[in-house]
Amino acid sequence: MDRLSGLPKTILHDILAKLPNEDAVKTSVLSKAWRETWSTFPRLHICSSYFINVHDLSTANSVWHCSKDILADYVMKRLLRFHEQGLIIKEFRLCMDYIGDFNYMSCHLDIWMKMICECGIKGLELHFPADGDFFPTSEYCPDKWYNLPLCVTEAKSLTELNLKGPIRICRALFLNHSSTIKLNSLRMLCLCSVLFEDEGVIKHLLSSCPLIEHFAMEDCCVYNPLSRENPLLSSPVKSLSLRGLQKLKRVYVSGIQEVYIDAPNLKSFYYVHCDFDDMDVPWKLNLDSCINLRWLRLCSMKNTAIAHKWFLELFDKFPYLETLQIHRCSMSERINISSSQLKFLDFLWCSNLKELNIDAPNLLSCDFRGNDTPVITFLSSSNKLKVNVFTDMDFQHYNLREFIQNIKPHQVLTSLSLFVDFPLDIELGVLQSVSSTPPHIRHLEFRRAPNREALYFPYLNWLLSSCCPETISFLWQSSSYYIDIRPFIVFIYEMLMGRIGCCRSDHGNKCWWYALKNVKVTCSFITGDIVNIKTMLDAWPDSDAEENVRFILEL
Amino acid sequence: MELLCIRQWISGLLPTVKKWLSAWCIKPVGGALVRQEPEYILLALMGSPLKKIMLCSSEKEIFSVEEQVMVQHSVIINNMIEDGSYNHEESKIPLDCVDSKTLKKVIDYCTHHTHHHNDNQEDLEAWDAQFLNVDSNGLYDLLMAANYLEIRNLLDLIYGTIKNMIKGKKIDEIRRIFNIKDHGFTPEEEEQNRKEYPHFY
Repeated sequence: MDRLSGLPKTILHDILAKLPNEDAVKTSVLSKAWRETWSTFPRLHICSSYFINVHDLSTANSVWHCSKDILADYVMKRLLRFHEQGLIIKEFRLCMDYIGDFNYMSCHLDIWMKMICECGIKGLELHFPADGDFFPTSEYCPDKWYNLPLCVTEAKSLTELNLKGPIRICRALFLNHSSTIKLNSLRMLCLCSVLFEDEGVIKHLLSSCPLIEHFAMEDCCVYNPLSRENPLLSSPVKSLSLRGLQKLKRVYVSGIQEVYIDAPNLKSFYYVHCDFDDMDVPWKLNLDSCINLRWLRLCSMKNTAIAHKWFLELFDKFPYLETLQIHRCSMSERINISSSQLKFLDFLWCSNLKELNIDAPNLLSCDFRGNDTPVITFLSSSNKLKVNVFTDMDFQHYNLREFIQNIKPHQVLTSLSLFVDFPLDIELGVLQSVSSTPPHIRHLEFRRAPNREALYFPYLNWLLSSCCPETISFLWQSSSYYIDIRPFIVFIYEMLMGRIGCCRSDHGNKCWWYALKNVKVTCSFITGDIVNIKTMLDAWPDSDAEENVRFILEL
Repeated sequence: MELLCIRQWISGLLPTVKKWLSAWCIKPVGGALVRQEPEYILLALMGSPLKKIMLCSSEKEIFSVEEQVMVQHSVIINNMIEDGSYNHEESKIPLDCVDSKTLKKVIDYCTHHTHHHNDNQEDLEAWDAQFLNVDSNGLYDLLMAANYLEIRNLLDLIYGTIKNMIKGKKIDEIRRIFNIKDHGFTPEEEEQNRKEYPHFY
């Protein structure tokens, strides 16, 4: 027997643990010895797409009936192996694209859960299609939720529980809530699209895992038979209260109006306040006792603008806050940020903002993205600061040059990187003339090219009349990329070298890039500098890896 | 926690965590955590830098190596020294599972990483890549030795190499790389496999 297959099982299992699931499954057909090793590998990842091709289902119902038996048999066979030999199952991840016959799957799931709980399960993940995902036939019944069995909430060895609905957690699971705390080992709890019988059940669940470190709750609901509009007979969880959880470090909450957290060791908090369609639902957050908070991200807080006062109080409440990220929120027009600890600041897609004053001497990076062009002023900054601006090139509504020039003090501009994304199509605006050298910035990066050659020149003209970058780079990954970036790169090169004419301004002045001494080209797939752009094009890689090309502009 | 738990817990700690512990002047003595003078702790936990220990390979060849180097990387050796079962004057640590050639390489690895741990990531990775430039038998020997001596970072390094030999490759190629001459499946079984997972072949 070859040496690799003869290595001790523990070593081979360690190797399998490092392989992505596809490759780990591969070893089961490598050799008989490997099949043995594979069948006792204690991490089971079962994905229904291996057994059932959902696109076949719409044509033949019988295909589903066969496939679901194959799936059920396979899982049963593997679980029996562990069960009979008294082996431990460390991880069980089940990903079902399609439930189909609910009763059938439900019965099998109950048996499987019982078996794995008896095998000392540590990490359990159940991932079912939420309503609206994929149910081509009428067999899928939206009001059927899988009831989480008792054995799961009593599994003492469980360290990680990850549920993605439609799964229901009933009160009955906690009826015997005597003093014995059941989920003592649970460190990570993630619930998405889970239905609770009532809000009390949430409290019981949380009190049964006092040592939890990571908690996530997304779009969970509470059973509400009075909810007539909602055919699922549920309404979103209205409030969440996390108290007395000493070890709690990371929390992610989405879709809950009121959140109250009392966890002195909380390090990071990520909150998404969903767009509740018709209701004007205000958000209410109370994390006042979490004074050790280091990382805060708030998303989609639209109904009530985040007030200027809120920012002032924020840094008093959380003196160690290092990262603040505000995404898609509505703000008051003028915001002052003042903190000596703050290192990373993000404002993405925030609306209403007109003036942003930042007094953070230790700030390492500031990211800005959106359709607004507020006036940004750094009242104190270090030379380590990097400012990143993302733009969508919507030049009809966005005066990029003015925005850049309004960033003060001007020495911050030397650290500014501009990341450009092109909209899929846009009407050509008026061609701007370049009257004077625009402000110098550090870096300009393209992740895509415009989809029509006719757009190259107008876009570039607009961009290069708004800023004068030291370096220009193009970053792409061929698999996720459907527009060939090569012609665009060549066009920019030719333009910078002065070989493609630019529009002359009224004064007859040439564009600033005519004064360039040299444009140095480097790329990730050729070592060293490139003398001839043709050699670069010839060596263009086919691979799926992320590649980049960089121009260094020397004045 | 019971004494046994504390002991097991400490023996499972990484050498770096133990360094941190030593800064807090807490020394594990017979399983309990006891306050001690800082100098004693540092000496006891880290071993004085020039103190040497003797490792004996399966071929009865003796290698002398700095105690600090081995204690930092190998959990087994660290435990032996902490237990007090190792007497510096007289004894040598017998490693019957490891032959001389492999032991020399292991010592090489540990020594380099101790002395160069402040180097930048790229240099270290380049050295590691060069270090693993051995034939497959040598690689497995190293793997077994690292497993026996419980040297976590060397284990992870070798796992990474083996993982890359499997990842993304077709079955026939993997069989060739690992020299799996006889896969052990009957012709019917092999055919069944190919039907079930055509994209692996």
